[in-house]
Amino acid sequence: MITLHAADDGGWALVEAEGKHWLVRPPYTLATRAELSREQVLRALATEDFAAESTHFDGWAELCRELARRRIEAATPKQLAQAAGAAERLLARSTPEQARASIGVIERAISQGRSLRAQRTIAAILSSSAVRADEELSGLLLELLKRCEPSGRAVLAPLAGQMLWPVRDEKAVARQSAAASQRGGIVRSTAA
Amino acid sequence: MPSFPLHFAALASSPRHVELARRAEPDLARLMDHIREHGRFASNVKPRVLERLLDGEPWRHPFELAQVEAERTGVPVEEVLRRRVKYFDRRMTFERRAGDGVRFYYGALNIGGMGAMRYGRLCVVFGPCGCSDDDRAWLSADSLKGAWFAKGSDELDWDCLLEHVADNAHVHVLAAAKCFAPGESLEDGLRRVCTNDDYVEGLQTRRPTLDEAAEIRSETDDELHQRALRASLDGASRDEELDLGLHARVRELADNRPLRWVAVQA
Repeated sequence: MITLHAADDGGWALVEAEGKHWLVRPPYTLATRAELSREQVLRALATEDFAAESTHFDGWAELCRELARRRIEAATPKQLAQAAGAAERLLARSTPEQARASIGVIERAISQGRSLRAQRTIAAILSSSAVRADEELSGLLLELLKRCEPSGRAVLAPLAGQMLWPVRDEKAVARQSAAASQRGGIVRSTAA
Repeated sequence: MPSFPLHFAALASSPRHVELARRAEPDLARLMDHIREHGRFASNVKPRVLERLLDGEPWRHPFELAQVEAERTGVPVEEVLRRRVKYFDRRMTFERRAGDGVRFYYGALNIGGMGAMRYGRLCVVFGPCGCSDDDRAWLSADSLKGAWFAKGSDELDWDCLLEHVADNAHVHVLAAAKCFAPGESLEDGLRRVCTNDDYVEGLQTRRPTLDEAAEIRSETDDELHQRALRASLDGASRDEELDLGLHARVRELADNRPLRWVAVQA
């Protein structure tokens, strides 16, 4: 049995389970759950913007589903608009270190056939000026972008007959592809 | 009877502080110097709270938060307070006695790093402490948990409280008195100045504003990058999209202000 003692409109909640107190927050994983003392819970209730309640749940899954449901239900049109493309907007702030740490994950996505998503992700990361300033890193990401080509080529195949000029600069094409993908451009809209 | 808001300069000369400041301990002097140089009034907040502040909403003290909750939920404010009242006893006692009817805005002394992260993983850091500011006072611990409240009691020991208070110009002495231990390294002492559970608490009667803030420290950047990467590559639930949207908006709003955004590894 899990008791929800309080929640705020940002999806954070104060919870009691098996005699322990927890602060849970999105995205509701083990890593985002922190144990609190009872005193800390009381203090949070007294001083922060939590709305007190006492709701019982059978387990963590039920609790998290309810917190997520409330948040979606309470979302304003403005918040829903903010959510669109938020991942890419955050990726556009990548530091070189974060971008470097992403390469393995992106490679895996490409090898699993998620090339269109990988293209969009790489494009977002490449729109970070800090990443672009690192030539070696930019080169690695552009290489990854090339590896997305098989699916990209399949998507673009119907257009092939309309292409009158040979490609002279592969890197420029990759840059343009990245920019188009970032804009939500031709590749994705054609796929849809 | 002394009451708050009052001029804490008088309190800062309490025997405990004077005695400490006179001790010829080089390590203590180094600790005090470091705190004087780097000490800041800071407040840890959650992303939704920071979004509101960046959007121009005012900073709210706990009683105003109860008012907001009442408006949001449609529950009368008296009912909101009644639901919370068992948690509010100490706060009411403290503010009635120390505030003399005036409400406080709370923060913590920060000398670098993320502050008390259980209040939020975004830390709003204000200007230097060492200036004269009659609107601000410091307590050696959380006002609800300090030695001035005996364990299990909501009765405030006023004399005890006065032993643990300083004005803005003497916060370095107060913090050093709390955190200094002979024979320990400077780093050990500095580490104790602000932890998740224990800190030097700042109180001010003037409503803080982001215009006075110098920087926002964030411990969330690497985690958010990972989450954004997963969402971009694998897709995300609606709830996760909303949360990423909130964080993205916070960053975008912060870009429009003359605030430094500092990523901190906790």
